[in-house]
Amino acid sequence: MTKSKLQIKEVNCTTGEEIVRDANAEEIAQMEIRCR
Amino acid sequence: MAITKATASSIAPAAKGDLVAGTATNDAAVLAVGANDTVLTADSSEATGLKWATPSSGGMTLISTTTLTGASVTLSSIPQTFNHLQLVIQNYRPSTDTDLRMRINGDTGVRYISNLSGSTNVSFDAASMAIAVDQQESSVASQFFNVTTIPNYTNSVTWKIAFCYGLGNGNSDPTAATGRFGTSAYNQTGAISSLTLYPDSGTFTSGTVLLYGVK
Repeated sequence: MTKSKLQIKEVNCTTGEEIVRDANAEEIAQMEIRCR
Repeated sequence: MAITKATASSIAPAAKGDLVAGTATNDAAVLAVGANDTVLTADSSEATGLKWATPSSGGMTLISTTTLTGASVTLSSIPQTFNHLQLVIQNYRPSTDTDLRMRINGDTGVRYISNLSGSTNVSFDAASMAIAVDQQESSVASQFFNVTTIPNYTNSVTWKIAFCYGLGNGNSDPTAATGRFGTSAYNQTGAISSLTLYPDSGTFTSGTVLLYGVK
């Protein structure tokens, strides 16, 4: 798995809209902190 | 004077269900019956001080059902119309043995504490809160089950707490259960409109989160 394939899911609980997107650089950086 | 059918009928109601209600001292009015299943409710803005109204319903409303995939799952724009929130998380399986973390309102600051069965943290020393077993096994299909309740999530004057209980597959023996319960907390006072779930490392392999609103 490469960093660019990390995905984030967001669900809008009011509209029901669901979005799956690639994690941005800041989010990937946070994951790196978590994994240390 | 005893009230009998004759004396009650002497009021001569015009219709079934009519009530006589005072409107002021020495003055009264007829209040017609309300619709089926409505209840008599006090309302000082009404002439009689009474009205028929639909009772407010209690119970749980399923807000969303979401499959746990990717690096994190965020439940956003959570309706602010309930008293409490309840997360029911089933079959959480991480890509590597790890626990399940939660953040509130997207806050990645060091503002969380986890006091789950045996935890001894006393300060807000983490950037997310634990809400489930410490090390969910990743190598097998998961029987993980967890319930997390967030009371009074819309208030803007207190720190927020999440009461968590559940069990997962044992880290050293996946056929055994690892239980955990307790209270995690977040030291900010704003109303909660967003919850983010993520495995402490790696990604989700499987799992489902049901978000309920509780009245």
